[in-house]
Parts: sequence; C-alpha cells; structure tokens
Amino acid sequence: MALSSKPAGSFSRGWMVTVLLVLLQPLPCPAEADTSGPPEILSLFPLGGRQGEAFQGTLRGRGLEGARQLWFDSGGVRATVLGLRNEEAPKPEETPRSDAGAKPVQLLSLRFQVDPTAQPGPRSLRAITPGGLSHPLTFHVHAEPGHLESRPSHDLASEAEPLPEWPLAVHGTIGRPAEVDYYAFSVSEGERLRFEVRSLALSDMAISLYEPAGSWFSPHRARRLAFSDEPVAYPELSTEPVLRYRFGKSGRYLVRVSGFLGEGGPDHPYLLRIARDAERDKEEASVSASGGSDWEPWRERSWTRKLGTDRMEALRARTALPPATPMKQSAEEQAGTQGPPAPEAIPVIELDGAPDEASEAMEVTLPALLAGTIEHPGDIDRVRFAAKVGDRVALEIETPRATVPIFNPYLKMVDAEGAEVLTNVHSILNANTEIEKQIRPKVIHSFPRAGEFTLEIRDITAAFGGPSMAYRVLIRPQVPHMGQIHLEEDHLNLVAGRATPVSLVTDQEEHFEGSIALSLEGLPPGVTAVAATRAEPDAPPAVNEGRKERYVSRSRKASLVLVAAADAPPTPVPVVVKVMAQPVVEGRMGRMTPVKDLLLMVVAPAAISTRTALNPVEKTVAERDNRRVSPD
Amino acid sequence: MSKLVSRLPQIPMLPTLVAGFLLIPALQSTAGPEPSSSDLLSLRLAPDKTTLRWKDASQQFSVVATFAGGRETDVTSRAEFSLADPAVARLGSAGRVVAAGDGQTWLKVTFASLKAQASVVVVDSARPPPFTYEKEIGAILTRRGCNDVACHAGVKGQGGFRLSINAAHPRQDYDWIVEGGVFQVLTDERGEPIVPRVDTEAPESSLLLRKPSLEVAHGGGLRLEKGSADYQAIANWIGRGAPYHEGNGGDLPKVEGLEVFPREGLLQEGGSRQLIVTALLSDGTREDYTHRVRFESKQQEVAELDRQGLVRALNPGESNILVRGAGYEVQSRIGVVAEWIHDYPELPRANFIDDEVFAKLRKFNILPSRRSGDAEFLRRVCLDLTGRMPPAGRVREFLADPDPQKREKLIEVLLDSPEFVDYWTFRLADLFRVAVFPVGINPKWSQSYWEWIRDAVARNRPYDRVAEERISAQGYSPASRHYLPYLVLPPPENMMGEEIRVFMGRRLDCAQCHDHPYERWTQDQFWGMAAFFGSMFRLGANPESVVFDSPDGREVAADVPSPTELRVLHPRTGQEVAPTLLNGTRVAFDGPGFPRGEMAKWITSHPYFAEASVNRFWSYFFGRGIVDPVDDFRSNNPPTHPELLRRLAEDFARNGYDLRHLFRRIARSRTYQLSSAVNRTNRADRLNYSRALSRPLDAEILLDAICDVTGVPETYGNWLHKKKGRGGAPRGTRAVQLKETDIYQSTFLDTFGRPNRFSIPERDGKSNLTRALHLLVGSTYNEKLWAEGARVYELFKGGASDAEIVEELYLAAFSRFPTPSEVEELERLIAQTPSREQALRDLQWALITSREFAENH
Repeated sequence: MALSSKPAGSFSRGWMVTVLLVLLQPLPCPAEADTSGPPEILSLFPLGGRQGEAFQGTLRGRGLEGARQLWFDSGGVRATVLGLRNEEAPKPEETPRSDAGAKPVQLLSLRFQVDPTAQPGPRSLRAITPGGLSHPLTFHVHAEPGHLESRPSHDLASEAEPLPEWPLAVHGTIGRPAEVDYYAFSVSEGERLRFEVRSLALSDMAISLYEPAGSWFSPHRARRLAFSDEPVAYPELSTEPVLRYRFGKSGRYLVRVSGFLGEGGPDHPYLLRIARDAERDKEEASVSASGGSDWEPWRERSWTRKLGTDRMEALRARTALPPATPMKQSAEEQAGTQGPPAPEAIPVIELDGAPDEASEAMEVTLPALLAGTIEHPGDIDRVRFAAKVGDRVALEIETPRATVPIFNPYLKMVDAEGAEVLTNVHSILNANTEIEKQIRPKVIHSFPRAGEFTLEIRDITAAFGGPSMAYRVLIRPQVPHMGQIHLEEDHLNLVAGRATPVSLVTDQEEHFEGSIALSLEGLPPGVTAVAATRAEPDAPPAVNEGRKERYVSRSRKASLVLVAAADAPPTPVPVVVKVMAQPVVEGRMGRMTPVKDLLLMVVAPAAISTRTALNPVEKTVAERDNRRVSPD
Repeated sequence: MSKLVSRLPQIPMLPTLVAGFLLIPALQSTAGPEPSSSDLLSLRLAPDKTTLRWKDASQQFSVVATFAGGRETDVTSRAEFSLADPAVARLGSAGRVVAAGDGQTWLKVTFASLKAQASVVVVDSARPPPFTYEKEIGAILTRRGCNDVACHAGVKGQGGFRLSINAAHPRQDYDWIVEGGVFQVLTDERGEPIVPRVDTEAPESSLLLRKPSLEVAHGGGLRLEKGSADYQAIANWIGRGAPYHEGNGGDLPKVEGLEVFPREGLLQEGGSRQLIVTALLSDGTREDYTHRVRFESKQQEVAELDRQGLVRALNPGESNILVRGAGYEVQSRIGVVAEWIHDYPELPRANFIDDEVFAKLRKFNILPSRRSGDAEFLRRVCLDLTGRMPPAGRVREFLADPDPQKREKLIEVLLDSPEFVDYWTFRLADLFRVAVFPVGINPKWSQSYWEWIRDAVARNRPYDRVAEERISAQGYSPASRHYLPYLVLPPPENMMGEEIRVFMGRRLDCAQCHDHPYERWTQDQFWGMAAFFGSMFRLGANPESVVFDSPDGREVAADVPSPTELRVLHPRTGQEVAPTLLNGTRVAFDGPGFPRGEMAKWITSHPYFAEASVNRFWSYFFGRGIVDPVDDFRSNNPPTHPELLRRLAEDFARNGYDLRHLFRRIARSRTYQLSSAVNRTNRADRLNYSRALSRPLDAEILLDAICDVTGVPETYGNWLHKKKGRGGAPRGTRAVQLKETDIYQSTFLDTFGRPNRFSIPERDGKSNLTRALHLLVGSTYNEKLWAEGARVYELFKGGASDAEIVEELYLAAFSRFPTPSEVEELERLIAQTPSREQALRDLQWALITSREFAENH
C-alpha cells in the first residue's frame, strides 16, 4: 500500500465549478448558537421545483444554527436562506423513542431559484453550517408545472383535492400517521399516464388509482383501478413507486398517495408526477448520476454494469503490466507474468432463437460475449467451447433489463459427461447451520483438465421467461486486476487540530497479487493524509463459506488518517477531495484511477465532534439517493 | 347500565318470521303417525338372495315396506316369515335365516296384505367353517372396540400393545398377540419384554383375556365379560394353540369391502331398524357380517345401536352410523322424525342445489322453512357476498321495490361491487395466511402477497389458476412469499400438508409418522407428496429472497457438504423418497418444468380440488360445509349431500372455476334464500339446509358493522414504524380491508376471534367471558354511541322524533323496520327515562349488542 497526498492548489480541475454555493445573508439565530457538530437535515419541502421558477421552501433539521449556505452537486439551482426558527416541541408522548434526547428541531426557511436552463432531474442538496457539512437530501428539478398541496385534509375519496391539467408535479406531505392524500384529475379515453412518487428516506410511498364511481353501499366509495408500491427490494433497484395506466374511458379519476403501512409526519414530503407515459420515459434520467463527477465509478460485481466488447481493455486499465500478451495465451504462459492478454474486440454471440436441445448447443471460441433472452419458462440457452488444462476463465453476467430478484440468471458449466463443473450459485453454511445460497454476477474458474464444456444459461426458477429477461454473459480469460475500492464515508468534517481516520477496502480480482497505492488529491491547506493501521474486531469464523474464492473477490483493508493542523483554516465551502488508486505490480505502477469524490470541510475547533460516516438514517438516504439517480 | 337498557325487551329473534311460517300455503302439510296399511304400496326383502356356506351359517334379512309418498319403513319385527323348504334352512330370531342342509329354498314374508320372497342357497352345510384368525378373533376385537383408534389402534397403541384399526392388518395383529413385544412408533423393532399375550397352556391366564375382562388393571375398562361367547371363543382358540388359521382357512376368500343396508333410512321417533352388513368377498360371493362388525352412532342423542346392529330412534335429527369391520368402514345415515308428513308439498326450486337439498329433505320427512322475507334476504346476502350490512336507505329502497327480479338484480350488483372485492380478499387472505409475523418481519412481502390475492378477486381469476400459482409459486412472485413466512422455508412436509389441506380438503398429517389411522393414506404416500417440496430453496437474503426448486432436482452448487439437503428421506426406512403423487405416479425432473409445478397442475385438475373448493366456499354461505370441517374429507366424515357436492364441483369446474359464478349459483338458490325461522319438522335439523342457520359474525365483520351502524369509524394503528413514528391504516379503513391484519392493534378484533394466521385460521364464534365484558364496558361498544358524526347523535341533533330514530336504527342494525309494537314499547321506555340522550345511547347500545345484530341469519 502506498500513499501520497496533494494539496488543493496543485489540483487543476475545475471541481468547484460544478458546485453551486449560495452565500447567506446574516441571520439572527432563534436560539443560542450551538456549533457543537455538523448539521443534520431531516427533510425538505417542497422536494424540488420547476425550471425557471422561484419559490419558498423549508429545510427541517437539527444543528442548523449559523447555516449560511446550501450546496448542490450540480448547477441550475440557487437557494437563499430567509430565516431559522425552532419547531414547536412535540408532546413527550408523541416523540418517537429514537428522538428522545435529540436536539430541538429547527426550520430553515429558504427561497429557491431554479434556472430556466437547469436540467430536469434529481440533484443532491446539503446544508453548510459552522459545524460542517450535512448529509445529502434529494432536490428534484422538473419541467412540468408544479402544484402545492393546498388542502389540509383530503384523505377520503370524497375530499380529493382537484388538480389542474397534467403534466404536473404535485408537492405534498403525508403529515401524520395514517394520512393519505387523494387528488382528482381528468383524462380522455385511451390516455395512458404515468404516475410516480419521489420521497425521502423515511418514507416509502405507494400510489393508487381510483374511479370515483360510488357503490351500492356508498356514493363516496371509489373503485380501485391500480396500485403500485414497488415491492421489489434490491440494493440496485429503486423502491419508488411508478404506476402506468391506460384509461378506458374519459372522466374524472383519483390518484392517492400514501405511506406504506401508513407512516407519516413532517419528514414525509413527496413529489407526485403525472405525465403522459411516453413523455416521462423520454425525460431526464439523472443530472448527477456520478454525483457531479466527470468519471464513472468502477463496478465489478454488479448485475447491471455494462459488459461491452471493450471489456478487456477496461480491465487492462486496472492492471500494472504493460507487456501485451496474446489473447489465446495459455495458463502456463500467463502464470509467469500475470500479464493481461492484449485487448481485442470480443465477439458478440446472439443466442436468441438458438435451438433448445442440449445436443445442438452452439459452439463458440473464447472469449465470447453471449447475448440472449430467457424466452419462456424453463428456457435454457447453451454454448459449447473447448478449454485446456489450466485455462483460467472469468464469467461475468449482466442483466440489462429485469434483474435480480426478478430475473435470477443461473449459469452452469458441465463437462462432456454432463458432470457439473461450475455454477454461479454460491452456497455457504451460515451461522444457523442453514444452507444459504446466493447467485453471483461473476465467477472464476481454473480448468483442471482439458475438454469440451457446455455452459447453460437459464433463470434459476423454471417459472418465468420473456423479453425482459435478457442477459449478457462474458466468458473471458482472467485478468488479475484492481477491483472496486470501497470507502464508506460520504463526506468529512475535519476539526482543526484533530485527526480523522478513514477506512478503505480494496478488492483484488482474479488473483491480483500486487499492491494498490492510494492517494488523495485536492486536500485543502493544512490538511494532510497519512497511512495508518487500524484494529479490526475479530470476526467469528464462518461455519462453512463454501468455495468462496470462486464467487467473491479477495479484499484488503487500509486506513488513512486525515490530519487537520491546528492552524488549518476552516473551509467556507466543501472541498472535493478525490480518492485515487493505482495498481502496483512487481515495481511497475499502473494507471491512476479515481475511486471516489469525497466532500471535505475543515471546521473550527469549537465544532468538537466530527462526522466520518453516515449514521443509519443518513446512510439510508444516501443509498436511496444513489438509486434515484439511476436510470429508470 | 341504565334503567332503559335493563327494561328493554329481549330483541326478538325473527318472531314475525316464526309466526308467519304456518301461513305459507305452499308448505302446508299434515303430519301424524305412521300411515295405515291402506297406504302400503309394496314390500321387499333385503337382501333379495343369499348363499349360506358352512354349518350354522346365517343371514339377517330386513323387510321393507313402501308406503304412498315413497316412504320406506322397516317392518321386520312385524312381518311373518316362512321358509319353503325347512330342510334347507330354518328361521332364527326375527328375520334371521340359518343354514340347515344343502340346497335352495325361498324365504317368504308377509306383511299386511303384501308378500315378498328371497332366494336362499345353502352349501357345505355339514362342514364347520374353517377357522381364520381374521374372521373370528379379529372380528371379536373389532366388535369389542379393542382395535379402535382410541384404544390399541392409536398411533402409539396402548401399553405397548398395538393393533391395526378395525383389524385391517390381521397378520400383523396376530403377531403382536402371539409373539408379544412392545410397539415402538418410529421403528419396526419390538421393544422388551417380548412376551406372548397368549398362554396356550393356560388360556385363561392369557393377557389377551385377563386385561379386557379386568382380571388385571386395564385402562380401557371392561371389554370382554368373562364367560361371554366372545370370551369363550378366544379362550378356545388359545387352547387350540392360537393358530392363525386351521384346515383350509388360509384358502378362504378375503374380505374386499363391506356394504350396509340401508345406506340411508328414516325412522320415526321411538322406532327401530335393523342394519344388515354384508362382506364382499374376493371370490365374488357375499357373506352376512352383521354379527362381525362394530356399530357406532355419531349422534347418540339422535339414534343408538346395539351390538347386533339394531338402530333405535331417540330424538328427531340425523345420525351417521359407522360400521367397522375386517379393516373396512362403511356408513349408514339415519334420520329420525317426530312425525310423518303425509302430503309432503311440491317445493319451488331455483336450480340444482334445490333439487338435491329438497330431495333429501323429502326423504327425511323435513319441511324446509319458508322463503325468507325481503329484509331477511337482503341482510344475509349483503353480509355473505360483501361482509357488510345494507345501509338504511338501501333497505327502504329494496323493501319498497315491487320488481319480482329484485333479488337476482341485487346479487349481480353485489357481485360487481368493490365491497365484494374487499370481502373476498379478506376471506382468501385469511385462508392463504397473509400476515407479518413478529419474527422475520417483512411487510413488503405480505403486502405484495395480499395484493396478488386482491387482484385475483378483482379480476375474477379462475380459482384453479390461483391455486396452481400459489402451490407452484417460485421466484420473487407475490405468491411465493407464502413460502417465506419466517425468512426460512418451512419443512417440506409442512408445506405439502398445508397445500393439500387448503386445496384438496384432506388432512394427511397423520400419515407423517404412520399410515393414516382413519384413511387409506399411507406414510409412503405422505412422504412421496412431501418430496415435491424437497428441492425448494431460498436464494439470497432478506429482503430479496427468491424461492426456487433446484433445477434438475439436484443440488445447485454443492459448495458446502449437504448430503441430504435435497433429498426427502422416509422417516422409518431412511430411504430417499421420490416425488410421487397420491395416485402413485412418480414425477421426475425432466424437461423444462419442475415437479412441484406438475403437482400443482395435478392437484387443481383432480376432482378433490373442485369438491374441496366448493365445499369451503359453501360453508361461508351456510355456516357449515357439506363436509364439515371443510378441510377434513375422509371416509368417516362423509358429505351430508354427496350428490350436491358432486354437482356443485362439476358446475364449478365446467364454468372455469369462476368464484362469482359459484356464489351466484348459491345465492340464487331457494335453499340459500330459506328463512331462518324453524317449523315443526326442522327444529332439530342443522345438517340439511332446511332453514338458514344463524351464525355469529366474524370479528372483522362485526366491528365493521358496529362502525356502520353507529356511524363512527374505527382507527387502526400499527407497530411497525416505531422508529419512524407511528403508522396506521388510512381514515375510514374497514377491518376487512386491513392488508396485514396482525400488525394493527385492536383489542376488539383480538377479543372477538381474529386468528393469528400462524396456521390455517379456524375461527371461533363462541361467546366467552371476555367478549361479554367487552360488550358491557369495551370501548368499541361504548365510545361510538355518542360522538360527533355518530348516527344517533346526529339524528338527535337534527330533531328526529323517537319513532324516527328507532326506525333508522332498526334499519341500519337489523335491515328491517321495527314492528309497531317495538316502536310503541321503545317510545314508552325512552319517555320514561329522565335523560333522552341517555335513553338513545342505551337504545343504540342495546341494538348493537343484541344477537339479532351480531349474527347473520
């Protein structure tokens, strides 16, 4: 492990250009200033606004004294602080147990101005106070007209709040437990609309559509037409509900927004967007998919990373051995050098329409990028290929449309006798001595004997199939390389005169034996980074982790300590520090690669606590926000 | 409680309906004693022929007289018997014929002016019957109840001694008696001490005799009187060395079944009838087994029997008579009437349901109640189809509507209502066990499962498709969440047992440890079915767990040692069991499918599925199944109306397993629309649908009804979001609309029987002290009476008169107008109460705590 640090002045990229800062007017504090820590922001209302419009909003949070700036990760939005006041304290019996003893909640009044040219989509917003930088909340810029919920109570179909013409972005709040919000709108026959709700981490919203037709029992009874709660929960998927519906007849309809299980309160604002289905599909995916960076983070073991014909080239970029070796190099030839094969365009083999019979499996040569679809329940696509003794292959799987847990690609490699050689199912015996199985998007294998092998691709169930169950499977020689590098911290608030440790985990893929040099670029004046050790708690030994080496990368842990000198000047705005990594093999240095952009602030010693990681709520927010910025 | 409440009259339970019964001309009839001989139409003997083999072989005959109107009466004890050739046979006690010499003769019988005869053939009359353990000793043990499931034929036997039920496995029984040893449930090994239960040197010292005769302590009490013929027969057998058979006993034909005559019969209170049991032998012959079987009346207050099979009618009603012997069990259904109806009327019928129900009622001499009045029908059909009572305005409208088709039209309106979707989603969510359990909480799963059910009801998906999807559920599909109630898959045997119980109405559970004691289900069959679930796995961790069946039936990625993981092992043999359907068909992993999917198709296409389904749904409309309990189909729990069950099932299947079609068929039937008012003939009947039976409302329905009548909705908070702040169901949510009912706190629902759904819910509508206390002081009953928006409060505020308020409350609570006398009495009571407000509160309380309100009738 190597370490270097570079002062901010030497970092020439225009990071700050992408950061919009709005300086606050001096404000009287409603309570005695308490700058004992960074701010905590709970919610925002409204959750965004229309291009070209100015509007007022409120940021709800704690430790907002002295808040003078909001920080956005992309341009087009400005915010001006209008005032800060303490929220009326709830009665003790109404206070959630988790809030007991917490600082009082404050309301920061803001005026937002969205540029007419601001790109529609979500962006991150943070508060800056003398105590440092907060975690992010998502702010949505939309093109359609906005509508602010106006009725204090419209939680019965008969009380639905009428909406103007769509497309529309409705900003509302589920203000108390069990509250639901009904809205009325009109459509023409045959119209197909798309409804979606965006909310904050504490919320889990659902959308329902109704026809206010009444029933024999009650003229106010609405007949439910459709419902969406996005029940699929998976790390890479959004849980925000989206509902598409084609209206068979013209008329007045109702849309209802509700919290899953009826949660509600002041931190449950939402944005309901109604648009013609096709229009929304064309709209923005994200303006800040990379968090405002100009590079894409490397994703290794993910079902949705893109597997292209240039995959080998991308892998080479994460190694350190320049001598290009032929693609068809044998394992013995590779063994001495750990060198990657020379990049070649990998041929794409289309498997749709290929015969289903095992005996008619298509013959391919490696490397190959297999593209196909599980067309019907029980469909199995097969290819045959030859391998030599010692050949090391990696199999990577991408699910470009439906993904886990809806589509669960199951790969099985069998030899000429039909004996199983390899699958992408990792079995372990967990602490309860139950067998636990996981499918993996990547698996590696070394052939102990030569022969002809067949790779079967299917859904692990025999119950599903269809156009959405598309896959891309890359079979290629292994390339020992630097994998993903994980850094939990989202932002850092460094206190002058104190040191803050930061932990990193580096993945070594495909028997990568080299080192990974880590460095930080863009550190502000007075801040240095040094390598450090860190005590790790002893993990209980796993009962039986199965053939772990096939399915998961090896990992190493590293620690950095960021030291802010006692005289380090406080940073008025966050500095973007770039975490960089560089593979090192046998004395050769590989390409310097960005790992993460870290927002860093130096605060005065009065701010005695530092925030080095997200608390659970913040972490949920961050994860959700990451999902949100993924394309639909 | 106020004076008014204490003085309120008992809310009358349909008094006008009861009073009105006798005024309905269509059902007028005359009843009286047995008809005279002038009404006698024919006479017959049962059986009409017999063959008596061996010395002293005998046959019991029954003489059946048929009177005008089709009624049959057993006149055996009053008929005159004679034999054409006394050298061939002789007469024994009433109706019994005993072999005398080889040949053929006629048994002749005379009753009143009619005669009948039966052929009697006698062979081998000089030879004593060869001895077989099965026929002689096994029969004694059966008759004496020793091999009853409650005694030595129980799962564990008794005192280490185990017999097969009804001597189904005589050789095995014989070995336990003669060789001795202690029975052990989970192994074929005999436990110590291995001491014979017979003593051939001193027969009377045999445990086999000393225990049942109480010479030594016997938990089963006195079963065999010392000196009785049976005692002596056993003693003699032991004295002869306790052989399994003697002579050519081993060559005797085997019993392959039993028949009982009559299978269905009717007796007048105080009358009697002889049952005749015939064994069907493997050589095609038949043999009188009446004296070799055990009789048992399931409703002993209705009919009782002696050991010889003579039924005595005690009280009006119906009883199943179980006949057990030679390993078999058959049944006779005996009805008892108080008096005969001489001119049974023709009954109007709406569809085949009425054909079947009324045919049996006629046979059993029971007159159905009259057709329900509009008010009674309206309330019942609304509750049964939508789980809610009709609003007062709709009651007025319906009662005033002169349209003769208004019932049919109302049924269609209800079937198409959103309330129908709410209610049947609730019913199916109960049956399918949608819940968020305190362990392994994942409300997302249960909600998607609930939504799947709701969608099926709303779109009226064929029930067989719903069932197939549930049974074969895989992946992350909503139905697959059924298999993950606790984040881990239940054991295969549990999953299988539930699917068979829910969708085939059978309980195989007993066969898990041993062959089913009552049924033909074997342990092999049980584990063969369980094996369909043996290759199921959970993939991934919460919350993205996926359910799948290991492709090819082989271990997927056996990275860790799991030698038995995918194999279901027979608990006694330790051998791997292949997925095998109940009919013995093995299903292998070949082709794109998977065995559990094949099993799902098999289940839903099996006649059991349609039968079990219609039976279950029928029970929601009538308070009991044609087979009851609804998921306990077995030979000794037969349907009350087998032909009706068959026709309902056929109709259901023929119409695409359409639940709305089934419900329409039921609701339109005259049977369903009968009044709950009793008449003289059906007062004791609870099995034949001769009247509507009152049923307590289930907790959720009752709570919703209280909210509707009082006008004050319930609020439901939940406990899942303590960290985020309390959650809850939206304002106006009805109890039947709660998606994951178990997360919403409700003292009322808990008190009144909301099931926890840990297992297939069985609701208990019986009263108890807690419920009684809740009626008196519970918040649900008392806090809704007088609040802003409460019905009676708003009427009071609006200046309604007492009579108007009484009428409105009656319409809302009972779906009927109050009678003039009720109005008069209530007005008087209200006037006498110092506080009118208090009087009206009390009135409302009295109505919603009354039986008329709390029951569906």
